[in-house]
Amino acid sequence: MKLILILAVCLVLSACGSVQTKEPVVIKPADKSKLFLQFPEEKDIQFFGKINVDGANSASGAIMYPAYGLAGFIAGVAAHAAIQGGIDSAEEKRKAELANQILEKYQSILSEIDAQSVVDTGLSVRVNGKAVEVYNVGQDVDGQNIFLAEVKPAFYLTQDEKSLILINELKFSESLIPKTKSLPLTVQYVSSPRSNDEADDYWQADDFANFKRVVRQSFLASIELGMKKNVGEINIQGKPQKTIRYLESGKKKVERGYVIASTCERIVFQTLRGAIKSVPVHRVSAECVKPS
Amino acid sequence: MRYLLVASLAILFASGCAVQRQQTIHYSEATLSNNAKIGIAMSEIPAINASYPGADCLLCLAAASAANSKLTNHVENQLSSEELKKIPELVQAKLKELGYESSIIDSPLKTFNLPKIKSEVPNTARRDFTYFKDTYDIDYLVGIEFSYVGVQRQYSSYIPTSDPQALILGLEYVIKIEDNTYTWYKPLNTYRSAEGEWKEPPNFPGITNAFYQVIERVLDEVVNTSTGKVEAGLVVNTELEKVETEAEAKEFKEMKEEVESAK
Repeated sequence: MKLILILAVCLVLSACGSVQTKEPVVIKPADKSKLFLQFPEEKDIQFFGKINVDGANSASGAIMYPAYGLAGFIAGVAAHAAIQGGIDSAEEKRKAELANQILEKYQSILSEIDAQSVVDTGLSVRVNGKAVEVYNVGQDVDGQNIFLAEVKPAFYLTQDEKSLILINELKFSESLIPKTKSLPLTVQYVSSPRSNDEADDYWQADDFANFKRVVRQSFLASIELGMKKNVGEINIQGKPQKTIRYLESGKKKVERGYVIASTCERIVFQTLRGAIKSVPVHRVSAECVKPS
Repeated sequence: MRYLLVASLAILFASGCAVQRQQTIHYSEATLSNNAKIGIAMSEIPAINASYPGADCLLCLAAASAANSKLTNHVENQLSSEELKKIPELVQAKLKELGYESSIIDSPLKTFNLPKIKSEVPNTARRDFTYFKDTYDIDYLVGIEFSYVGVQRQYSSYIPTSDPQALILGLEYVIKIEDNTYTWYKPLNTYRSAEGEWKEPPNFPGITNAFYQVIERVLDEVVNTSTGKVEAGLVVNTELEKVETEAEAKEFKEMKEEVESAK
């Protein structure tokens, strides 16, 4: 009887651990010189205050449950999970509301920023060495055989206002009513951090000119990186896995991944979960600061 | 009455045997004396391990091992602790920055081979480190020891009570060999959970990230700085990832000072 119970527990636990991974679908439209963007209908570009999570997952996760026999123990775990689940979601909501307060002074500009203002005329990105024009999907677009990307951009302003982080989810397809779509691809773009003194003024100066510029620049960079990944220009085959150190909000962040490109200022890498990130370097290398 | 006497004696006996736990000693000007000869030694890094404390009975352990076999396989075969081997060079570079010359002792630090000693003097080590004075002619030893590197998941018999956490247990200290006292004592115990979901076989990206984040934390802690690290034997500089020579570091420092004064 005990053995059956153990086997059942093992089965349940191992079943919990299986996650299916799918091969990415590469979309091959006839005309790759133009890319049309489809934003979410309700709120096309979202803005949030970033919740501070430093050290949040460094706490001990171990909880000792009262156990008067196995049944009592399982009941204890279930009761704790139910209570904790409620507390966690309320706590998360409260944290998100608090974090969003940082955006109060930005409300005037946030209401102005939408898909139309970000993707205006004359935008293009470079993929495989060729320029690709970027447009919003409009009424006049022939819905068939176009290179289309569903985008879902969300910007996060850190609590010290030093960095603006874009997380853009993209899905590529070859028509407005596609037979196949690529798997969702997450592209993250972390802006270069402002110094302590200038953060506040920097964004607000000249009627939020820098804020608008960084939003647009980050968005366009995320489109370019997403396209490069979709057409295979970004390829991690044969690249070694490395520890990548970068700056977010002026602090060192560490993540494991595959370096795709690096310059004196930025690193582009693919994370272990397959997202593409463009981030400011943690420290400038000696070659980059040598006086000429 | 007889039971009370026996119990009192037992408590007295047990507390007499209790070993005083060494308290953390912060780095200060008294840690190292000027012109002291300093050696740096590190223990062998333990094999990366996945363990399930709390799964105490044999069947519990078998159940925990079976349920976590993919995680164990990934942790023990795919993760690397190679970067921890840079620690002696990091410490040496940091000491140089602080104005001390030091040498790295190539052989692994094995304190359990040293003779045991007893002393009433606070902060006295439980081993006699005189061997290092006799063999390497040093006055202070900077020791780094690791007892656990890997991932741990808590169990209560058959049931997991926590998600897995990347974990490194270690210790860094300075011993004044003349009297075997610690002048710096710093546990390097660091742990971290996966960000988001951890059940992602076969590559477990969340746990993998957590493991390398813990390694990075130890590398930062070991030189008591959050500014990162340098390559072997190079000068620590908070602004530079790579500094080829001391002259380059000096040049950069001067350049930076000029920029600062211009501001």
